[in-house]
Amino acid sequence: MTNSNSNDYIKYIASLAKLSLNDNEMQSLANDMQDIIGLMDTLKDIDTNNIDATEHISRVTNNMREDISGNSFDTQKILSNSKHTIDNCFAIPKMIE
Amino acid sequence: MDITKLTIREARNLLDTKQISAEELTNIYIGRIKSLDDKIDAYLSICEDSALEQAKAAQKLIDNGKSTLLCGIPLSIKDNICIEGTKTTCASKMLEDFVAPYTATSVNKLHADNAVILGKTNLDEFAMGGSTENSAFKKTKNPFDLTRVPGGSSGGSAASVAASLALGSLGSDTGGSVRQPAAFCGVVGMKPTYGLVSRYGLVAFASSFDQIGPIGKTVEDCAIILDSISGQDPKDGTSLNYKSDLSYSSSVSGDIKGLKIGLPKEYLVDGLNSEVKTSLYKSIETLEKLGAKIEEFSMPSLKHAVQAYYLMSSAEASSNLSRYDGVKYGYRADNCKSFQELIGKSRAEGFGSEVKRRILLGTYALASGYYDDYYKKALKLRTLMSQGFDQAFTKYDIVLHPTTPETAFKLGQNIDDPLTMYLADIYTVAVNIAGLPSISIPCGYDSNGLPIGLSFTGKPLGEKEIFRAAGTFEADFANKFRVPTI
Repeated sequence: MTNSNSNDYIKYIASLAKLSLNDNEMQSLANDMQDIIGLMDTLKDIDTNNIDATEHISRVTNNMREDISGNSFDTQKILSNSKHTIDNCFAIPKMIE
Repeated sequence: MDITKLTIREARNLLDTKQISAEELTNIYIGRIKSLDDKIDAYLSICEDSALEQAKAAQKLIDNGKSTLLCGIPLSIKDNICIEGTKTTCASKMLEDFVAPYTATSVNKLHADNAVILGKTNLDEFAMGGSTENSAFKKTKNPFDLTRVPGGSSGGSAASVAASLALGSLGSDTGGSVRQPAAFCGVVGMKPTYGLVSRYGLVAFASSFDQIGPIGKTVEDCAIILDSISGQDPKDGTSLNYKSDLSYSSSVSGDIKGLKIGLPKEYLVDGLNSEVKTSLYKSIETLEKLGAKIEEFSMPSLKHAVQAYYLMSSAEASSNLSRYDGVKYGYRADNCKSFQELIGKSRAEGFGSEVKRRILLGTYALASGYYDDYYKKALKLRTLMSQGFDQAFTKYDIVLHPTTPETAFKLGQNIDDPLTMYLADIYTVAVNIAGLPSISIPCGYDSNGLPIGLSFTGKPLGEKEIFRAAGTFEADFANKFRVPTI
């Protein structure tokens, strides 16, 4: 990947990750990512064709509990960590005119 | 009483024989924090009132002869572990005002044993880093040299124990974040088998790697804390239904005659500092003198552990940290006209640089067109590494290795060099990839007087074996063990 392609692609990745970065920060992070992805690229030549993937190392499978309803958290306690609430709801900017 | 050398076991004896009260002990630590933490910056918040209340309750139990090993023992907690009603910031601007609505299971277990919680300790933001310099609030210093880092991400926890600002601490270890700062600060840090300690209430970084672990001055102190915090938890679906037949704290002593120890050749590479290497080989001589049999073995997949770790853990982090949207909790950007703007600006303004790098790397590794080459490749390497360890443990009881390639570096030295920081995790990350238990203990000091760490890694649920091996080595090393002068 060339530098300019790389910068464009990192911009795209930042948009997927919902990070609204300014130009300076975007440039600085794109430079870092170039180095970091260069390190990750050293894995490409390793032959792993016949190897299964391990997503999770847990030695537990389907650790289920009884399906019994329990007490939930107090509404006010949960809302208290939000910076903006209206009528016991989390508030966001208006989406529909 | 020399507080700088006091251990949990010794404090237990002082409390039970009424040579000191739990309130007096707690006040000593609060006094030290007030007078010394300006130099160390280990703590982000102090819980003085609740600590003294807990000490008072503990003293009643001691007076009634009902104390447990941790009753009245002052501990610190890494600030990514929730305690109801107190701030849990993860050292991030994102969670600067977040007050935890519930308590982590590990802390509830400490409460049940009547330990005293002194406060919350500093870390790299969201536990991402190896120097605690990525904290949004302060830079913790290494108690052995205030111009150097304490390691990370549990740097505040390790420094609080090394500087005797707590008798022990809880940290979290995703890729070495308990063991590496313990090594840099000259204390003992232990990462349990994945699933042995509940993750409920630990703010998620990389869920298939994260594990809470103890930090203490001695192997026995870590075992005492692990006895308290381990156990199955219905609130964590990955916690193991396992109960050790013997307590961990009773497994520390014994001998290691005939113990088979393997040393991975792939770890004896060029990047290993010569003084750390010399200390490793001196430690091997000691272990052989104590009766262990040590030989080198090869596990080629270890060469790729750092890359595989950063791909997998960052992928999980990019998913876990998507919850920070400025709506339900956490930092919220001002004057946003749309929902998309609110999310994008809140995350850009609330997260620090290292967290953004990890989110970008994780999103990249999971993106269409790159998934197979990066994320899936790393998952396959995880299989190879797990199989490699399984094979090694058919021949050896324990795998031995340095904890870090170098001793504590200068503050600011690597802050603009993420690649160097990542590569320094070479000896710790494979343990998390395979979900194994590992303990780092002091094994020497370099020419600058900085501590060097030695790691004993065990098979799954092999905590007792690594405690015994590390405890036996520690007993031999006791007359060389140093505490910092602050």
